[in-house]
Amino acid sequence: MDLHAQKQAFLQLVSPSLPNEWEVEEVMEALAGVSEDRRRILLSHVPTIWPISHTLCLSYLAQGAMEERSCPPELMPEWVRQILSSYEHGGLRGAREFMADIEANFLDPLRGRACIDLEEVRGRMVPYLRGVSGLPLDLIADGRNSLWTDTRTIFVPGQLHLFADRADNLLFFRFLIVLQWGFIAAGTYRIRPRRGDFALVAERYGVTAEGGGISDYLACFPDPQRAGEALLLFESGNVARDLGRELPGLFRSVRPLWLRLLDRYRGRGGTGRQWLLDRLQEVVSMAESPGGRDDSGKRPGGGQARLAGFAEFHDALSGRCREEDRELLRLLLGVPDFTAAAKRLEQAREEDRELFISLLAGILPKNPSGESDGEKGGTGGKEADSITLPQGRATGEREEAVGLSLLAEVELPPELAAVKGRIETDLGEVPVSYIQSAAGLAGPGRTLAGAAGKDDQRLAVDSSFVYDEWDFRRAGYRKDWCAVIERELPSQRTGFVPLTLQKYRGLIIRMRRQFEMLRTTYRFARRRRYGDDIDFDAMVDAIGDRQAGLAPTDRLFIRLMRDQRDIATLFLVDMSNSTEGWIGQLIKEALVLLCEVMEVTGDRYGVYGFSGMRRSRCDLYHVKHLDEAHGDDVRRRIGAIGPREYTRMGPPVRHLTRRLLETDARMRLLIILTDGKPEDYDGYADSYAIEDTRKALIEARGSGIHAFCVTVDQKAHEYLAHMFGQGNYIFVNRIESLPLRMAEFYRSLTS
Amino acid sequence: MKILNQQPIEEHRIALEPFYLPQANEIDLALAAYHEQLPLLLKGPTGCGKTRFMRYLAWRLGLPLVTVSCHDDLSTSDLIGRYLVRGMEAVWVDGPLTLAVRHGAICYLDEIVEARKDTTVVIHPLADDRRELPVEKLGVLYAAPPEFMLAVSYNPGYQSVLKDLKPSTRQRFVSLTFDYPPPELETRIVKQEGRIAEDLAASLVKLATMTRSLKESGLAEGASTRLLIQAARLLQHGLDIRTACRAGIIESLTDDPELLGAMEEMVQSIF
Ligand SMILES: Nc1ncnc2c1ncn2[C@@H]1O[C@H](COP(=O)(O)OP(=O)(O)OP(=O)(O)O)[C@@H](O)[C@H]1O
Ligand SMILES: [Mg+2]
Repeated sequence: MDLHAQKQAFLQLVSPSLPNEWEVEEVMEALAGVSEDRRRILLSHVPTIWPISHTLCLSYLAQGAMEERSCPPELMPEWVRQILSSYEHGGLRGAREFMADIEANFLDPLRGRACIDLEEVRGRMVPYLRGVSGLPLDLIADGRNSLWTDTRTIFVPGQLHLFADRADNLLFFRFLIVLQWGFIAAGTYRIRPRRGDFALVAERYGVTAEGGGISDYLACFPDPQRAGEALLLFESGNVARDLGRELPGLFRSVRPLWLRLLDRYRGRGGTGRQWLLDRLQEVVSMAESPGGRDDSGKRPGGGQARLAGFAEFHDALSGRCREEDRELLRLLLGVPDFTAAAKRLEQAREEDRELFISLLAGILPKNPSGESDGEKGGTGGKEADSITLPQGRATGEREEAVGLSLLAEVELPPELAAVKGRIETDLGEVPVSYIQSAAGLAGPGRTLAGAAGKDDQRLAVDSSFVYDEWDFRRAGYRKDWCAVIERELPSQRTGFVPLTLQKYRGLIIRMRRQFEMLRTTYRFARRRRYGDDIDFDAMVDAIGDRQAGLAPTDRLFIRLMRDQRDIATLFLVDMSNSTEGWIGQLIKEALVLLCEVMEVTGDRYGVYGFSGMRRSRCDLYHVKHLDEAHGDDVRRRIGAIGPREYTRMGPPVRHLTRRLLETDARMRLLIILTDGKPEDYDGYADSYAIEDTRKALIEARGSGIHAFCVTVDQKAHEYLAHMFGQGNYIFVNRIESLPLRMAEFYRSLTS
Repeated sequence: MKILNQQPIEEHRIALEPFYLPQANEIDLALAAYHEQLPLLLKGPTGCGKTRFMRYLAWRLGLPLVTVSCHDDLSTSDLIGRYLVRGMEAVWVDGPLTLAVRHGAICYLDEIVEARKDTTVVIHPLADDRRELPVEKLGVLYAAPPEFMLAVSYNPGYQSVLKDLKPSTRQRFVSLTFDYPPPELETRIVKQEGRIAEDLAASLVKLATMTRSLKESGLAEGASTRLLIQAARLLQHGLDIRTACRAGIIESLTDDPELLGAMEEMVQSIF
């Protein structure tokens, strides 16, 4: 537009007023330098500002023309609004001052408000992600501020600020996270390239792969990292289509934002960028088209040519796009790490394999092979009494067949069914070797269990308490394997407890009131000999009885009675070195709060900490014995709790079980507070540790103790349900809420 | 002395076939238990179809269904019966349990764990092979006819240790485990009972599935089939879907602001 036409357009806007020629001239020159779009936006606000102050309006145009780079178009209306309000308060001068530094006066404060901080929204984002995905995924702020996933955790930038509006940023953040899950769900990280795919890249780039996985495949490309990014883009269409079907509402609302963001990049950059923008635009438009379901994307490695055309696609992308164009790609689809994902998947696969084998072994009848028609009943684990297997006939292959058909037909316990499902999605089917191992484990199990008593490595400790330990590999106990040593915590004077009491003052008052209600559950006891009121029902019964010639009862009153709770609870607290720092701090705060509110219930309770190293020294730290009065000593010992060594969980559980059995309470509870998997220095790890802990908890339950766990484990927790039993644990997402959740958990358990 | 039949058993007969879609083999199991004269224990989360199943079973067997909702004030007289005074005469009125035993009906004790333990023991002699009900006040021992069936339900999801079933009670029953039906089935149920379109029903089920994976994040129980039907019903009156989900499902699940926020976002993502 030439200067003259532009001026005419402006005069049209402000007519009928006739501004000074020379003033307008100057502004028009400034405006001539900005892009068409920008000019249109700037001028669109003129009718609003002009009537308020002509001078202000001209300054605004001059300033606005200068700030083309810094103030994004979608922020313009807000900028104008704030200009007008500073004019209202500070006159022309105030408004000019405001406009002079757009960074400091406008953008910074706005960022503060609109910016999404992961930590702020994590509390609802994590449950959202878990609910939507049905997977125990986690969200963590990434150190390098990039977006990626190892298939278990989604790493995101700590903050997100792409739009002026906070709600838009939040929505967009959520969408980016969901997209990452989309790649996990679609199996992008589990693609198994076919031989032909490898041959093709070998031919193109002259590199032969070192393994058969997707990361090995990507490693053949000139730049594996870029190849990974290209793969995400390549897959994004299918992924988005699947997601769009699942979450149409999300796609509908994010679409305008996504397009708006792409538009910012349009018009600049070369054809390569346009090409990329078009691809990225498909992410939100693919989802729109209902289209036939493309199931080839569903089954990773299922023989479908999923990577067909990828190498060409990759080369096209590399050929067209410059490095800076890729920034946008990384922002939206992330910076994948296929090697980390492969490692994580392998780990999960291994965990599932172990879990599967031990669970299946647990339900297979413990019938040594060759022995036919051995025992009819009484075999098989306790948990599996609903499953009976064809017995005998178990020679090598047959056994396998029995196992396989078992998997197909018998109703599996939910945990086993869940692992089986996971293995099948991962590998297509359960490998025969898994079933063989399980059968192997189940077969000789009994003989080994019988021999367990002859263990020659028994512990030579006489002082402390000695307990057996469960070895799942041979399905038997190791006799007198661990020594629990009771120790005292130094009662330190620290500011910790008073500070905590101060910090939670409001909460403690509130919780005390709620806990008081636990104590004062009154109920009307009917048919008492004496009481507060006449029991009308009993009266009618009695009259009826007498009329019928029966001896009427004299229990004719209602009495208000307090329910006898008679509960004894022991809290067992993880003091392993992983609780160092923040977690340990909150665990202690949780204990302080808990003790304060437990006091009002009148329930008996004790608190112990545990940690140690090796089976010969499982230390159990006394904080409060069951009937010890709560007071400054106890508070000081809580203050002295701190991170120590390892987490061998079985022995302290067995020890406290014994302690609880010594009490005469009607209801006995054991509540464990931990931050992760059990683990010790001497090979007490993974399945072994999980199985022993599980066994210890089963033993406790077997003797009538209710055992529960509160965990703040930030990582994997498929094992939790297995270890603690479904419904016997809670997971605290947001560690800051631990003190509250812990107390509430106790309340819900006992009300 | 006379026995008053003020509650004719016929009122408990179910005339029309209740809509019930089987989840698994529960119908066969229940029929087998019936023919073997064994009592039933229905376990499962709230609103997953236990009560509906009992209605269906009663209809299928052509038996009256006497339902008792248990609560902690329920006394043995409430179950067995009591004398009342009519004019100058004492008349005996059967409690629901006695009524069902005498007429060979199904007696269904809903949420049995809510009843006090001293009340639940009265079902013991009925629930083992004796199958008899002593009524001390009348001085009679009713032997249950072959048609009589006892069924109880409870929800193992509530974590309170104070509300657990005693082993001596529990071990008298054939257990049927209910869970939320698989998605396709649940969709059909919601579609039929809520009178809405199939794809909408499928989306509601999707939402429910998402809330059900929040158990470890602190949601006591995910959305039940009942809640889905409830939301579907609200839709009939022109409410928009998000409002119906909020009022009909989400707000009924928790008061925790973060979980509410997360679930609100799920609604917005789906619809
Ligand atoms: N399999 C099914 N077939 C048909 N309808 C079903 C089925 N399952 C659930 N429903 C529907 O869900 C609703 C709730 O089920 P129901 O009242 O039987 O739950 P419940 O298990 O008895 O719950 P509660 O433990 O809270 O009493 C029923 O009214 C019915 O509409
Ligand atoms: Mg019911």
